[in-house]
Amino acid sequence: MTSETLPILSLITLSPFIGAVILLLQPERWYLPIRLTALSFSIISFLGSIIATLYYDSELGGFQFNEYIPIVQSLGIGYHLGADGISIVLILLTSFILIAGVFASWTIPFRSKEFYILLLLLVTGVFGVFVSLDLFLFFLFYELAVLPMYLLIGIWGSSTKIVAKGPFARAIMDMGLGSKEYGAMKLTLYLLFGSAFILVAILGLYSFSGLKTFDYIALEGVILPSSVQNWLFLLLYVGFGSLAGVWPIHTWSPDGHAAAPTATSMMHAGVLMKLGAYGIIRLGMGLFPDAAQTLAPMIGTIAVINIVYGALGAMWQRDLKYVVAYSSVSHMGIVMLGAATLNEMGLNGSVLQMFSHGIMTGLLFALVGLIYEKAHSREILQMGGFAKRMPGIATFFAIGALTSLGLPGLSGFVAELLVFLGAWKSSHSWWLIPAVFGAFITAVYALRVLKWIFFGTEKEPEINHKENPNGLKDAIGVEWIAPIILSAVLIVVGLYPKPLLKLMDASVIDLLQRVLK
Amino acid sequence: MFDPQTLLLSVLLPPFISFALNGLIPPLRKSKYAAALAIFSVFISTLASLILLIKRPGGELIFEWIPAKLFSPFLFGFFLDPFSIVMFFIVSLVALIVQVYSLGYMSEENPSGLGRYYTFHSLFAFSMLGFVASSSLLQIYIFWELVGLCSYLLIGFWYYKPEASRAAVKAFWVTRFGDVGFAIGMVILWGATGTFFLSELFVKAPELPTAYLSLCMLLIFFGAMGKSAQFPLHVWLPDAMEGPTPVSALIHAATMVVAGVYLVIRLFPLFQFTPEVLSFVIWIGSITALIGAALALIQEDIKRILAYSTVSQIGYMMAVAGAGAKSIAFFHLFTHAFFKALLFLAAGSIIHAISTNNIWQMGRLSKRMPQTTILFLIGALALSGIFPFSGHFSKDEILVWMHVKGFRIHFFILLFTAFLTALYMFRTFFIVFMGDKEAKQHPHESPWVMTLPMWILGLLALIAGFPKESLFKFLGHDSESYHSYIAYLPLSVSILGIMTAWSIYQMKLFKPSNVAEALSPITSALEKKLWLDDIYEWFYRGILDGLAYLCGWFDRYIVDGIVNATSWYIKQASSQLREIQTGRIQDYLYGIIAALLLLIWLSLGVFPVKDRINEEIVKPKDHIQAPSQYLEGEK
Amino acid sequence: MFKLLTLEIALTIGIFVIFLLDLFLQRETKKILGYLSFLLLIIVLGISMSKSIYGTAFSGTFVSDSFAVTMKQIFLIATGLAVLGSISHTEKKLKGREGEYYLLLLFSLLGMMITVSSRELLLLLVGFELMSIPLYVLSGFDKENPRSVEGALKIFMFGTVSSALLLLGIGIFFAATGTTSWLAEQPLIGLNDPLGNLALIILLAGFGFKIASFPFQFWVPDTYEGAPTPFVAFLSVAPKIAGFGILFRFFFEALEPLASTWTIYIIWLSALTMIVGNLLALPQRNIKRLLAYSGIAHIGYILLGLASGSKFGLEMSVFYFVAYLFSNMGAFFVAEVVHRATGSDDLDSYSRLYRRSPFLSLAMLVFLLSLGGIPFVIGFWAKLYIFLAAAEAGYIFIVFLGALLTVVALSYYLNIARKMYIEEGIKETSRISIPIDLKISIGISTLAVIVLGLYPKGVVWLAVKAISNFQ
Repeated sequence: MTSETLPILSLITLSPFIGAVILLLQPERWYLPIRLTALSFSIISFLGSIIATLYYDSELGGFQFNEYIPIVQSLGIGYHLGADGISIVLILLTSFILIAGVFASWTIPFRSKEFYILLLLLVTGVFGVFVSLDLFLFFLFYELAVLPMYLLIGIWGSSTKIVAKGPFARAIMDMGLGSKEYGAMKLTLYLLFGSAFILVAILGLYSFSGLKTFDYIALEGVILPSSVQNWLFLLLYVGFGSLAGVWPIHTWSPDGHAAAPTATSMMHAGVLMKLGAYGIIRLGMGLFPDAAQTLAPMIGTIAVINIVYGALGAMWQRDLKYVVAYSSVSHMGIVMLGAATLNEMGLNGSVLQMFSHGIMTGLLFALVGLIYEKAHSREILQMGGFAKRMPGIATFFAIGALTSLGLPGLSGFVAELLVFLGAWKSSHSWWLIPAVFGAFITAVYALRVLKWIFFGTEKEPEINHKENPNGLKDAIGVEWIAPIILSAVLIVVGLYPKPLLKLMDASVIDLLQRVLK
Repeated sequence: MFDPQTLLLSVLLPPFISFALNGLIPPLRKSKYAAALAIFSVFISTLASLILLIKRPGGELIFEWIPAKLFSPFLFGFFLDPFSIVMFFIVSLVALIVQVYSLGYMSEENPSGLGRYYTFHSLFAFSMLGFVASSSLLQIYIFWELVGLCSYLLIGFWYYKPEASRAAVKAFWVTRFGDVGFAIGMVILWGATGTFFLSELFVKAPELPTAYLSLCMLLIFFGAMGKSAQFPLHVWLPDAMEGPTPVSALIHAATMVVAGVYLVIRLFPLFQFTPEVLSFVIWIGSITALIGAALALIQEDIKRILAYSTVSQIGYMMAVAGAGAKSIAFFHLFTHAFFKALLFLAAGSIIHAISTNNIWQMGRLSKRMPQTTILFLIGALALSGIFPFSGHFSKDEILVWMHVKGFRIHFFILLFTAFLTALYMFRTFFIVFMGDKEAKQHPHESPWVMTLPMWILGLLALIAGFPKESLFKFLGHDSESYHSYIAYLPLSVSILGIMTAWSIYQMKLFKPSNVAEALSPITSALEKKLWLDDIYEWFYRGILDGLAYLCGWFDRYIVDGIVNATSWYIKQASSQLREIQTGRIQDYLYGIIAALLLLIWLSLGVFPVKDRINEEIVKPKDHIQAPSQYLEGEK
Repeated sequence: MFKLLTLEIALTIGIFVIFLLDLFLQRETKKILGYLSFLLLIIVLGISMSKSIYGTAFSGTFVSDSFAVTMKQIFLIATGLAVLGSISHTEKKLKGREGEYYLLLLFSLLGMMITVSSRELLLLLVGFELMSIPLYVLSGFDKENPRSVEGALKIFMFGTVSSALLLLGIGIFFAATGTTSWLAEQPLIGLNDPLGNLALIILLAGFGFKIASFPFQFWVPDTYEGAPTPFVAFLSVAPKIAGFGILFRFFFEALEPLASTWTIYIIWLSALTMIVGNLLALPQRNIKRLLAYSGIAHIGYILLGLASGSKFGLEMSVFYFVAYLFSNMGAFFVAEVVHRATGSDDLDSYSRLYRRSPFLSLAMLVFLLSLGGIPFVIGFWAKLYIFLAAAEAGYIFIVFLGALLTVVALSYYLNIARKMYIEEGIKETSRISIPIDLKISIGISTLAVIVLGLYPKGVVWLAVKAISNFQ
């Protein structure tokens, strides 16, 4: 057991931070060294998470690799890290996306140094949230994960044109909907708005528990009166829900993702949205079990709305990034549904769906980025027959699309199946029906997009003729790495999910027993 | 080395290995070895399944797929029983034949395209074989979806043809729509029994309330309807003919489309407890048989004719399976696999020769393509159920059984269908091969690499009916020999059908158009394909897209609009609030005075002073000292 | 007993030395006065470290407890930064008047030091005036600029009104209790009758001017806009903290029995101040006005700490002082540099700042994040601690309000960040040269903000020590 010997979690969490600091000292014009630095520190985190995965004792379950250093004793704030099966899975996800993201942004045209610094800071925050067992620390990392987003989108993002209509046309127009600044600001403020709720919930817990500590393990012990629990849980639900893209507070995500540069949207849709779901599962269910049980029906119902609504929304979109973004909303619905089922199948499915959707959406965004680089357009209807010129991208995109529609043999299926089973076993069996139909709608739009872009007669966006006369090409060199890694993960997990499920099973059951007692 | 497990694996694994290698190693896939690898692998599977067919062992492989503590974990496995063994044989053999045939048929493809083709083929062979031997309902579903994927990929193989990609997507959507039922049924069946494992299911299911079980089986059968192109979900199969012909022969005639029938056969131990569902199955089967045949009668595209005939033949199988004779259904599946594949390959060699599908542009081919002619004839006879061709035996069995078990209406429907079958089959035959006008192109007989496989199939189509008894014995079915006029009815109506076709299309005794006019309502309905496509179109464009538009618009302009409106409002409000900062100091002072007065009023009015007036308030003494030791205390 | 006044005495002596030098020095050599006064402040700060200056004098009306000393140290640091940041400014703009400038700053500082130590209202008033009057003068210090004069007039008017209110309050207080001091031995009679209540209100208003809480904040933006920026950096921090020092001492020692009453006022004040400050900062286009309003908002947050009415709350407020001090002064120094380079305080002059001076833009970003309360800079801890204290006291809804307003605040802070880092299309791209003194003071502030953000424990310590002698 290495957990005693080396602080593996700190290694995972802080190595990107150190990487960022080192990057800060490098001159802007060192093209390759900058990338290599970023890559190497990401790889350290990656190896760390692999080690953690291997050494985590899934039979034992519970929090392992604990580290504790007091920060402010008088307030009960401490640097307390620990990971259970769920966190481990998500750490693994994060490090996969991180590696892929570093490669996906390898060809970033300008200010790459700052880009990588911000990316690494962001990742530090994400890792931190997944491993911190101190609510204060948790919040700190959470904020850290949200903020760099602003600059990442604002500087390297891309804008689209959106017509202002409807009753609020005036407001929409004045706010400048569609521009990257708008997307960045919207996303940031939305998430900070969420974090306000979270903060209040945490502080409320602190004062109500009267333990004078932020330590998760200690707070697990206290059982608050159910009314208080409900209130705090709702606060958390709104706070994290806004990050997890819960309907109807999801609208930051399409605009944000659409505006964001490739690696950022990978990181965001792939990991940060999971961070919201993780928050609800870990803090919400872990600390307010009674409330979780009381409010599960609401959560599940909203989740079902998410699934169908998101899928239909994605079907309406004609901008590639928006399609993927809305599909994320729909899939996060499946995650939340799994959490709401409150049984082993559902919760396992939920966590697995977090993993699989993270990888999948990362893959899709990476490919969208590639397509955008080649075609200089995201307008689906302007593209066609790309499969002839970019067979590789087409293949990977197909893998991504098939995962999202839950095709067996790819990880999405296992997760969705488990969630569906859980839903049927849960107190509200009817959840199953809309959920399955949501999956069907996903099949409709996913294959349709695939057909429009890659199949049929060849078309080429007008913009592209001006931008690059020599026409469309397949991915080259380092661009391959991200899709290959991610789709490999999808297939392996899809074919043999057992190891991953074993990893989380014990922890999930612990959590459930807390909730159901 | 011949123990069941090894054989089982040596059936299943080779195609998978070939798929994996071809899939993961682009250079290999782009080379000409891709095809060789695929064919070799499926050849091994064929050998292995042949050995299995001879040795007929039983056996099982089991492993855990999804672990669980509070529920029973999901087991996966492959097992050998008569059905799976025979099915192994059919699948691997036809796959082998078709893949060899494809060498000739796809010769114009560029290497990378061909590699892709054979990769998909290997994947299909693997999934189909896996499906056949699955011992868990979940696993069945998985392979079920995988074969669906292969069909999608192979229909859309020429993705740059718009209609091909459209057909591919359509096929996937329709079957997937059926699978929604399958999935739900599967899940709720699990919900009641807590297991996916067939053997356990068969034990546990009978205890379930019939209504519940019926619901499950109905939903599952819905999936079977989608996959096996049963009315009204058959619409995808004719369009699927956009794919390469060998693919149609393998997937859309011999193997994948009958998966639905196979599913019913597999789950029969469950179906048998749900009579209502079974009668539903019979009805669907017979209606499909009739409609399929009727539609085949008016097609002009040779492949579509065969496609509709496939639909109708599967209808037969479904009907008889529903009537409780799974072995007979399986027997028909067995024979049909060969003669229908043969017909498709023959059609393929014609298309290959004169590159058109329209039967009216063919004619007199018997001169140019003698072998194809003979083979097509064999197939047609078998399909029409003429003695001694294989189709005769199975179709006979079906009709007899229907009659014996007293399904009178269905019996007559199917009988009429038999007539139609012969009619449309020989309509095609006479037009294409006899005819009086020449085909414009200069057709030539296909190369041996295409004809040889066809001859093998022809042979099989000829003899596949004879081992009936032994097959039934193997499948454990007691076919009571039954001699009465009934036994001769099918044969005679088929011959009648052939005569009719001959008289109309060869002898020109009377014009088909007149017949069409006579039956104008029916014909027009048939030409419209019973408006089914229009209905689905409306469902897709109208309902789904409509809802999507609704949601999208609502989300963008209402939900998000509110968000924008809020922040906009805050901005406005703040710039309004700004007005209080006039910059004129007297205003400020007024404001302050007002605020002060307000405060005072509050202090006197709102917060009444507690009545502790003039009581002694002892201020605690203050302790002032250098903070040093205090700091120690803190450390 | 004089050793308790060591700081004040030392400061006074230093002031006289500088005064004399100012008389005799030549116009060119006067710039050394800046360095001298900085040195002086360092020395005094050094003295304040000694343990022998604790105790009470003048029969208890002058108290030098750990609170007073800590506050004085904070003032010294603030003034030191301000002096340092002013050197080049005085040299360029106020040629020959450096002496007066620094002397006024130092006098104001002396006033603050006296106020936080006094337990006697009249003494307090004297100190208060000594602190305020130099500020009026300094606000109008560059005479050419009419805005400056206007600002000076405003702060002067408000100051006098506040003094008048204070006097009134003191009178009523005396009428109510028969004393103007609150000493350890002697209990306060009759604080609880309406009269005492009234006194509380009026005194609160009087101090409210100084800390510029709603509704007494009107003078702030106009004055800031006109006055010399380095001085504004000082004005925006030191006097406010001083005001809070008085509030803490007076409310916690004298008015402690009325706590149940005044906490309610304070809560309302704090809520309104937060709202007004943040909302008014939103539409600002001028950096100084924006910082002025955001400063008001911060006052609201600090008031939240006082309102929680517990030692804990006060500790957290003291922590907030430190955070606010460095972040805000730093921001104003950056504003000064940008003003020198572009000649305007308009936000547009910040567009693409990162191209013109990476260091400057990074520093500004750090300050803004700290003011906005983002992790790993001190502001984050400050805000969280304040909220924590309020939550402890049960004001969960005010915490909620504050947290939401933080989002508003971030929207205008990030707006500046956007101009600095994101905005495209900028005509001016020449690099900005930063005068050494400002470079140092900005550097110090940045360093403080980051280091203390990574290691908040030290500041918590300081705060705990400062409040240790309140009950």
